[in-house]
Amino acid sequence: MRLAAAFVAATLFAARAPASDFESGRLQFQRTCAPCHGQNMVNSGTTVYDLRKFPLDQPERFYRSVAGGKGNMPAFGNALDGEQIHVLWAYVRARGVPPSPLKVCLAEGNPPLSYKENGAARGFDTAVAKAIAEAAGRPLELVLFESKYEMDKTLAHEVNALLSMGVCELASGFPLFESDLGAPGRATARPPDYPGAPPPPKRAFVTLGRLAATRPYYAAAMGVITRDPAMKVEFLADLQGYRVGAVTGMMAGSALELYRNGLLQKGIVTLSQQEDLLAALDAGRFDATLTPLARFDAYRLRNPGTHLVRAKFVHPLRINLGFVALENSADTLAVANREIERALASGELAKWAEELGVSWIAPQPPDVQPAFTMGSLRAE
Amino acid sequence: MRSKAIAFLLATTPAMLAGSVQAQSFDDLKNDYRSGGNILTYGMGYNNQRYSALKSINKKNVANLVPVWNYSLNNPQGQESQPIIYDGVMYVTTHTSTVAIDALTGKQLWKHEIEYAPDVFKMACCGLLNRGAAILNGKLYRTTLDSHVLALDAKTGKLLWKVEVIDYKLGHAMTGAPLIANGVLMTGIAGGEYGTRGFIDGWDPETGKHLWRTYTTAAGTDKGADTWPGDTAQKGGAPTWLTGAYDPDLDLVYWGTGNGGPWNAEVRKGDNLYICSVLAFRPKTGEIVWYYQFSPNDPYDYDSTDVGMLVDMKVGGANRKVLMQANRNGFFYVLDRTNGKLLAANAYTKVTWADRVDLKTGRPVESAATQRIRAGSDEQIYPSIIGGKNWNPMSWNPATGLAYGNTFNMSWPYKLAKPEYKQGEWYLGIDFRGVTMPKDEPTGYLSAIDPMTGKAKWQAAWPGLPSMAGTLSTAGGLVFTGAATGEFLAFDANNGKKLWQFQTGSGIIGLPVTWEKGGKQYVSVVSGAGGVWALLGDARYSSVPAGGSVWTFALHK
Repeated sequence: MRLAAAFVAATLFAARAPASDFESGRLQFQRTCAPCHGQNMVNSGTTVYDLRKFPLDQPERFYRSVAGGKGNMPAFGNALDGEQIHVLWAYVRARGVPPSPLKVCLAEGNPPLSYKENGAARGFDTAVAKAIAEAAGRPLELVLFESKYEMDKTLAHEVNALLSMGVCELASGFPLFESDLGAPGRATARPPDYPGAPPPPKRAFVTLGRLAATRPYYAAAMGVITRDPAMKVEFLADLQGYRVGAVTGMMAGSALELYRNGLLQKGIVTLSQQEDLLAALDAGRFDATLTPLARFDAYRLRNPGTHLVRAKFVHPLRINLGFVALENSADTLAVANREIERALASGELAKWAEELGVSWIAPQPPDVQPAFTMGSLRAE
Repeated sequence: MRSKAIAFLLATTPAMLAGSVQAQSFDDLKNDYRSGGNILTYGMGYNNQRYSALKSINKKNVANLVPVWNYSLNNPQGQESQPIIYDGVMYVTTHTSTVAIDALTGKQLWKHEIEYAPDVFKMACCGLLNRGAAILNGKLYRTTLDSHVLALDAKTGKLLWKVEVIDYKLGHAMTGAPLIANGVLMTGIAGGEYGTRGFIDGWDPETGKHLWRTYTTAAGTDKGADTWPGDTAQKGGAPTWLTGAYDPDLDLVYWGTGNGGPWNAEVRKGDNLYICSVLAFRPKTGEIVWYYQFSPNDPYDYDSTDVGMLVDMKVGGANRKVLMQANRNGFFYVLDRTNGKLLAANAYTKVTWADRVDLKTGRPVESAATQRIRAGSDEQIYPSIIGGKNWNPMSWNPATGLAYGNTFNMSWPYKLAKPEYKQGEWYLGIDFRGVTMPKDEPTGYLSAIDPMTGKAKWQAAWPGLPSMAGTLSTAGGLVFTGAATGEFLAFDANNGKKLWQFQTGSGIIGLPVTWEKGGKQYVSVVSGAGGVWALLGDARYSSVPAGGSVWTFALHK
């Protein structure tokens, strides 16, 4: 499984790099376009169309005009093949300026969405980030940061600090709650560890900006994991009579404890937050548990030989994850939204997840949820 | 004399004046430089001096110059046409039209239009334009972007004959004004960026019959073919896209040749005759009598197509017939035009590609920077692709002994790359990234240059955009030229003081002329921004409106 995931990741990244398309386009532009449209695509725009004004959302029009000619411009359909026009578009859409890398921050300890392996970023988020960068025509630069507060509300402040100081333009894996978007909950915050960060005592507080989210690309959800593949769990009620592991004070543990006012209480095996829930299940201390599917995926990444399996039941509680950026990164947010919508509709998000061994569940409306309440844990 | 006689008629019946066109002859062409009244040749005379003995407009009164008329060319491209004026009719070309205008009123007499297949514009490296017509014995001659020569009836604009010079699809275009000398009509060819082979043609002006072709790269059994490796001469460039000069006494035509192709000189090791040269040849046969090569092996697109000026002057106390040229490579050359011997070659702008020109061998001594570039290094080189001066011609004033031209002060980044030939595409073999403007220095000047030293007696710096307009010198002590931003200006030839200016509405890259009719002196110029500067990535040019027109000025009464 792990090998397969690494292979898929390598394939994804071997796909064409926007930076080299730009360079090929620049060279082609010199040969066929610069004589009229100007060196480096800069011209006066008075006698020949100023390509720097070409609408970025009309690639079809560009292909049509180059291939078929327009006004004084000759048709290049016979002289240039589709690939050559494709790289010209990479050059033109970048306005003739080498595209700056799209820097995306990813938490290094958030498998299977984002994690560090052999010093490099891995995980589902890297595949989505890659697709967004390609859609933006920009090379991708992944920045791993080390969050101390996984899924904690201060994640918003940490990510905000990274974005506000320009360490990255987008950050992945962000739980979409209303309270964490828009105006920051506090004026300043310290960024977490990131490559090149000064040691914490010297790390200055950063004035926080306003966060805006993309469309969600993943829904965090909890599912039942069992040791015995034959064990059918369609509803939590099916766990009656089994030993069920629950971690005190965690959402999944609370959901089990609260279920139908303690229906499963008798079989519950209580674990502390320091214990590894799935390792304990693997060791046979209990028969099943409810846990975030991401936890299960992460466990499988760490323990490729495990026999633990996912049962059918998935808790109705969902937390949508999206990318966030500062509100003023409107262009980047727009292209990220377009790409996420596209990949969702085409089934590519689900495909990438499958290839990377990620239990992917489609995001559910509303994109951004109101504040989380304990009541939602009781939902069936 | 004749022109004065019909001046009276002109005022009332402009259509009748065309009758006098018939008389215009070879002798008129020969004497064009001293006639004053008419402008019958590109260069305002075979010697290309662009000097007029007219002086009723002079330093004292030029401030009173006012426009007499303006004529719209209905063409938004760059305008580089030098007006031809004969007996009160002005002939101006654009890439799509030839027009005859009543020179006194600005009224259109006729217009002949040309249509092009759209792929023609692929082969125009540096703007859709035309530089002017030639005239002889009631016929007007011009070249076209799709590489034809046309003869029009000067009276009516009717097409008399049309010949194809070469298949433009190979990467050729024609923009230059033809030259007529010793009974032969001559034309050059463009295409040096497209992997073509340059040549000059001779035609019978009466019928359009092809008389001769002289290729400007030596190939096959030609003498000098051994200066090219393999068959590189076939795509070796040496285009001839401007107009030659002529010395009737020596019966020699002087024609400048352009860059080597591809720009990457390492793939065509050798001198590459006759790129970046001046050829002296017989107009009757095209036979080359002598040549001088300014930039052997040309590593930097240093066209020598603007042939320069023919001047008779004292050199070291002796009278010499010289040809002087401010070459794109940054050196100002003075040659003995009887034999091509080099008399002087000094830098007139910042030069880093060569250390000097060796007077004994006549060859440039390439600098360490050029050696590094040949070895693959990436460096800034002076002058840039635009050169110390570009196509825009100079003028000569015999009273000051100075050459007046718009010069440039900029470098370009140069790094070799692998050339790939594909018909109809640029064939460069370098990583072309445009030009580099200097910081805190002007990008160009109007320069008054002493030919023997290359030093400027004075320079007037252009604020912002440099000028690619030609200059005109007059016995009135004036230098006329235009600004990229549209001002038409007159300077004091002695000290560069600006004496007058007028905003023409678009940028000027044209060639001013002065002429006389009915005892009154006029100055004319085409206005219309564009040309090669518009393609070099200067965004400041976008604030200059497009739109070609002709302006004529005279003194306010």
